[in-house]
Amino acid sequence: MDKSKARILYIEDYPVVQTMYVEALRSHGFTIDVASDGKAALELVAANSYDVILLDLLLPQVTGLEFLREFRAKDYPGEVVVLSDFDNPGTVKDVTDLGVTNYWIKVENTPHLLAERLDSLLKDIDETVAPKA
Amino acid sequence: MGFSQYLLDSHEQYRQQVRLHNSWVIRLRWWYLLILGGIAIITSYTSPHETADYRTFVAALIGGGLGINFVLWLATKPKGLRVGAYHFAAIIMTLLDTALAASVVYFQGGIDSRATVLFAIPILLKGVLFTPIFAYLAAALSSVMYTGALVLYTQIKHPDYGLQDVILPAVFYSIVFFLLAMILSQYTARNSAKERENSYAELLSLLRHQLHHPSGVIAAIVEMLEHSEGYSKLSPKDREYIRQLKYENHRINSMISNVLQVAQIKGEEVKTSEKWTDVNLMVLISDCATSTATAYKRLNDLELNIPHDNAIVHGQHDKLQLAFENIIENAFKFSDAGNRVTVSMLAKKMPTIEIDIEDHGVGLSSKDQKKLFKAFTNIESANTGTPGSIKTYSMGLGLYISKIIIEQHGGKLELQSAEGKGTKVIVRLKRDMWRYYYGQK
Repeated sequence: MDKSKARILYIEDYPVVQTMYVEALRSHGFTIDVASDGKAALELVAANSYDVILLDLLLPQVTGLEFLREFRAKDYPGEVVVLSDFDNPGTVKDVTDLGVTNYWIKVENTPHLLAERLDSLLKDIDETVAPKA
Repeated sequence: MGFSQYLLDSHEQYRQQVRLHNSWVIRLRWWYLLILGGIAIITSYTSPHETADYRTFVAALIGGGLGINFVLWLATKPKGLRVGAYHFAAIIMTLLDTALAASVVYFQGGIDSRATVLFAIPILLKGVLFTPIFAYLAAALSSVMYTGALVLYTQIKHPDYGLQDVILPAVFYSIVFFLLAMILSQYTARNSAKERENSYAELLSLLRHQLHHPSGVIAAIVEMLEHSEGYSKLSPKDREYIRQLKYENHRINSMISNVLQVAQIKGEEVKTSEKWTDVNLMVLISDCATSTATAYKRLNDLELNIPHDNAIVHGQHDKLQLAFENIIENAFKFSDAGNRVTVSMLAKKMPTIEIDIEDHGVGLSSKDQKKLFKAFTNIESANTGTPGSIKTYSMGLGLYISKIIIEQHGGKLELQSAEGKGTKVIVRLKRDMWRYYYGQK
């Protein structure tokens, strides 16, 4: 998938982090929408369809996990990548139980590294989707 | 699973129960006093000559037992370790025990001194032996002595009762209630340990998140700077500053991980569900040594003296691996390329097996060696004492983790070092005797 054509939603509440990641992702040619909390993110996924959703877990109003439950309940399309520093087995299990296979630790994924990883994820999605098409 | 496995499992259960002595012993006491109360009721109801004084004694026994143990139960409810409340409860219990014994003497005035002594000694023993190691012994001794006292007491009060009237029913009920108590105390202790462990893990995870977060933001900022347009215009000196910033941030990050690892390992001491298996030290140590040497690109410096021997220990593989990785990594980290690092395994007097890890690097002065382990005892007690030099800090944390793990396995870790000459870490572990003599499963 052409990364400029892929639709990406980035959900992060911490302003400094949000600014840096958005800047890095855009500099790598990604087209992204941004939400600062789970509630705004739910409104965005209801109105648009995304290829990838980058989701932080600690969010105000509606938490990342609540967003994820709602996202699954409404059966919205899109590959979810959880981006968090929480790595306790309980949280990881909650997330994987909701069908998320991409649990990326934030501290290990600095902005430009994340952009590269996202690029290869998009390629993987293409490969798994292509044979079906 | 054969008999040897059964023995090993029992031994491990015993070790874990000693670690859990608070909940185990307290709950055993709880059930024990109920048993004692039960026996007392039965004995009093079967007695045709009962007196008011005797009933007072029974009431004190049951009421005291229930009251005290309710306090103890509150103190050890699985909401973290409330050590203060636990000690408070222990003191109250001792006081009430004393009052109980005094009431026996007061109400029964003129009672045979043998019975009084049998009541007094266990109380005294409990006071003296109420430490983690002797808690078992104290609980067992006081159980036996209390039961003996009760039987003797009834015999004195009702000399016309025969063996079948008192002693046999007492022994019968003791056994029945004891078995019941064992099962229940085991069950409750296990559950509370699990809950405690979970809440501890949650706390650690939260801490990890809180501590890693700022460091993650710094890492992101540094990376953004490196990718910025202005970066290429910076002088080499300024770029070096950014590189240093990145390096130091990375160090903070790994220190956070290490400190939390210590906390996790200490926390795991209360864990009951951990799997202990046969660990082949020959394979484990060879793997650790070669992979660490490869990571440091110093495979040529590594000298491995490991005999093809069935060095099987009963333990936790991943923890042991971490312990040896830390020690071996230190040997490479604190010695220059070209200097030999020797890893040897020596069979000592059965069942001891010794593993020596020796380097010819910077070494530690005797002053720093003393500081080494002390520094981290301070960290544990949240003391803000000086942790020694950076060298002892970064060397010590890994070694400290290793020391805890080796000690958890019933082994010992010793350090011999001379400044400028190098360091030798000596680890002694105990082989699994059953496997040694009877071979593999």
